[in-house]
Amino acid sequence: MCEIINIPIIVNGRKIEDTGIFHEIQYDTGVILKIPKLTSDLEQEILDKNYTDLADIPIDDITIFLNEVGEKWADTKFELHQQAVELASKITGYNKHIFEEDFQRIARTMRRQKLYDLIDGDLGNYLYLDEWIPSQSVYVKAKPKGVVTHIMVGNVPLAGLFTIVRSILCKNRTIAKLPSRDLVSCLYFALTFLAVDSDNPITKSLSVVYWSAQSDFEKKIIAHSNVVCAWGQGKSIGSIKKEIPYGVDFVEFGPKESFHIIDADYGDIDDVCMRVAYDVCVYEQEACFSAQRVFVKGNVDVFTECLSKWMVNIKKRLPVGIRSQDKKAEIKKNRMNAKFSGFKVIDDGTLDWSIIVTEPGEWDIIHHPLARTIYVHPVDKLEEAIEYANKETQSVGVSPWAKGMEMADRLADRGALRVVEVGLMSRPRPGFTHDGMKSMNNLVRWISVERGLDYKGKHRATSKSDFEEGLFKKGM
Amino acid sequence: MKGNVFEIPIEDQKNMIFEAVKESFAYQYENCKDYRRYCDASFFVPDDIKSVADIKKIPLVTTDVFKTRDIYTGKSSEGMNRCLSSGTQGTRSVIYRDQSTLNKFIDSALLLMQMFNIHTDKSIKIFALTPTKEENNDLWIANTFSFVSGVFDVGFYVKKGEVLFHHLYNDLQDSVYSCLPVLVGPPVILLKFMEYLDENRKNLDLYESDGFVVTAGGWKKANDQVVEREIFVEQIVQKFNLKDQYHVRDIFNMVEMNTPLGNCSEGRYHIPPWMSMFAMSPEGKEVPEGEEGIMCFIDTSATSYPAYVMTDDFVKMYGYGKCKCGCAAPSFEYSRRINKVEDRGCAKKIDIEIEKEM
Repeated sequence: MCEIINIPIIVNGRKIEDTGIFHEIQYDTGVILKIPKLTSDLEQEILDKNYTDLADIPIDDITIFLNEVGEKWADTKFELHQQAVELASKITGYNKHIFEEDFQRIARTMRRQKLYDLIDGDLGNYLYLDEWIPSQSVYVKAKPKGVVTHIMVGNVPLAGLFTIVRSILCKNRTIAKLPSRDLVSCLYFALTFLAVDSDNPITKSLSVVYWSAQSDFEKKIIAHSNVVCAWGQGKSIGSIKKEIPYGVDFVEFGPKESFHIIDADYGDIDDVCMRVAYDVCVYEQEACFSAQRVFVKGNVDVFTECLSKWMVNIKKRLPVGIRSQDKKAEIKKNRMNAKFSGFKVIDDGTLDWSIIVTEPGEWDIIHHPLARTIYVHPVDKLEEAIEYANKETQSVGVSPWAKGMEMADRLADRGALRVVEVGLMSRPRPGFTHDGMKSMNNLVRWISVERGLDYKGKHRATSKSDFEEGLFKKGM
Repeated sequence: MKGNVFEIPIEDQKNMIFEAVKESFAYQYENCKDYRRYCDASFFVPDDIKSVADIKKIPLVTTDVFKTRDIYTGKSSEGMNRCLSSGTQGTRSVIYRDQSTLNKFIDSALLLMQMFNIHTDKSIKIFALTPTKEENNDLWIANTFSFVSGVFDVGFYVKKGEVLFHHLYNDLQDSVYSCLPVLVGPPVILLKFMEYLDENRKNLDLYESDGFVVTAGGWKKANDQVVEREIFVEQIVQKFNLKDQYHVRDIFNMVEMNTPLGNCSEGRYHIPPWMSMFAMSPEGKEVPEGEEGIMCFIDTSATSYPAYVMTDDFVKMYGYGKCKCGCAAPSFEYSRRINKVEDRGCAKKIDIEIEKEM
């Protein structure tokens, strides 16, 4: 028997609970979510809304408001927070702690000083958002792109919340298409804006809705947007990409995979394995930064034995979420395939986690079911592992960490986008780049007002009249 | 196998399957090097089969293995038929069949007539909505109908990727007085044939000739056109004016399975005594009767490859004497495919999507 739960949508900052028609999304965990479908009037309302509403709001006011929203959202007694944790866990199968931690993390990111740091990290200076900043012979300002549509995935709750914050910081109008995988986290986060101040223009700049992939409305909204940010698998990104008309920017995140390079002969192997286990298990390996493989130099038997211990221990810190029969079947079959292929398969008698030891390069013959499955590839030298980085590699965790910077150029040359200390795959540090981008740069238009000839700078002739002579009158 | 194998007393069926599996496993263990290595790694040898219960402990091969490796029994695959799944969405399974294995497939295909209760003094003609083996030498569904063409009169109505609806219509019209027509094909093509009849305002009346329509295979990529089985059967009965819904049947098979299984009047598929089938939980336990589990089978009719398979399907199993149709053999109800298609994150992974074959 399925439990049916109704959730609202947000159109231009207005909460809408019933449009008379609904999408019904059924989850493996036995819950059906009913979310209102957009009527043609509501669709038009989204398309009609003026996107310059936030353009003239000082970044100070934006950070003050976001700070307030963040504080409310972080309050574990706040009803929407509690409901979001409960319901998101219920539909995704993720353990509640994942949501608790991600919700707290976004709240910390929304503290005022952190928001300024965030902007500075991506744009260089938060003042660009408000003022014309002198730069060489021009004045530069970062204007909003306008309407930014975010087509989200629900594998990492923090990613969706972060996307909304970045979009607002850049003073854009935000249209968020909720992911069916997690219809709750971003929606309830956005509802918190309404709870803080439903009349605030920032709140009114938000539409958080759901529509069917490749629907007519999706095509309309894409054409109406200035930027479309899409997250997800290659197939789904590909189908959106086809719809992007000339003049609309497209920013894609994923699909990517990540791995570790570890010298097991160096350092405290127990500590390293604890960190590997964390990187593998957080978000049940569904994030682009989740480690799927470990290249190990040194004694692989000692490493896998120690890692096995930590894969068991980590269950206390990161309990395994609810897994469908399909997912379990996939894990079971994957282990059987690996065994048939002659690979060593290690587990604890449950389907909670698997370690599969294979030579590097053999993985093409087997599937990766995610779900805490770690492929261990023995290598003679750490450098061998670098060869396996490619354009689909996102993060590479390195141990000993001193080797990280040493290998960074070669990893980057192969296509890797991020090099981190083992254990910190899911914890990007301030100033991080995302999938090879400083993401906010994609959400603003860089405008310049150039100085006249009265300003000579270092390149102009010292005499204005000489310059004019050379430019306009030469040969006349 | 002569006579109706489904009428063999239950105890005899149980003994037959035990002996057949024991013999088959010993043969595969000795002659399929890849499978033997796998069994050794699983610490399971022929002497471990001491009772019927031990059958379920035999190491199973997943369908994925046949997609990534050449698995055959014997010293070489030379001279064997290379049978491929349709691979609608991904990599194709390759199954090597020698003549003996193929002959057993044909024998069991003939049993379908018993399961479908097709009795006639007239000749039976099969109208197959597939290409010929000559046109598509590897494709399993094309192979299967070519094999039975040695026993039945079979017409093929897919040529160069086109379905020859006009010819099919004419031939079916001509046949109604001379034979018992059996129209066989994937549901999506049958649906298209019905649309063709509607669009061209043509009628087909198979009532007097006691005609049958048999679906074979899933809906493949036509997921958006899937029609509920009950509704689909009713549409077919009306469109072809069949005698009743029991004249619309289904064949379950996949390239890895060497025995085509026909559904009974209750919609279940019965297992002949050379096959063992059971439903397992992902944790490796046999699930109780009537509950959904992963379909696993041991088909001893295959000698050229180890047909000991964990499939990509969920089924509900029922034991001996548990079907209202009167057939005492164990049976299953098909539930659904295992959902392996992940579109839930930005983590890249190698998706291997597998189709129910045939």
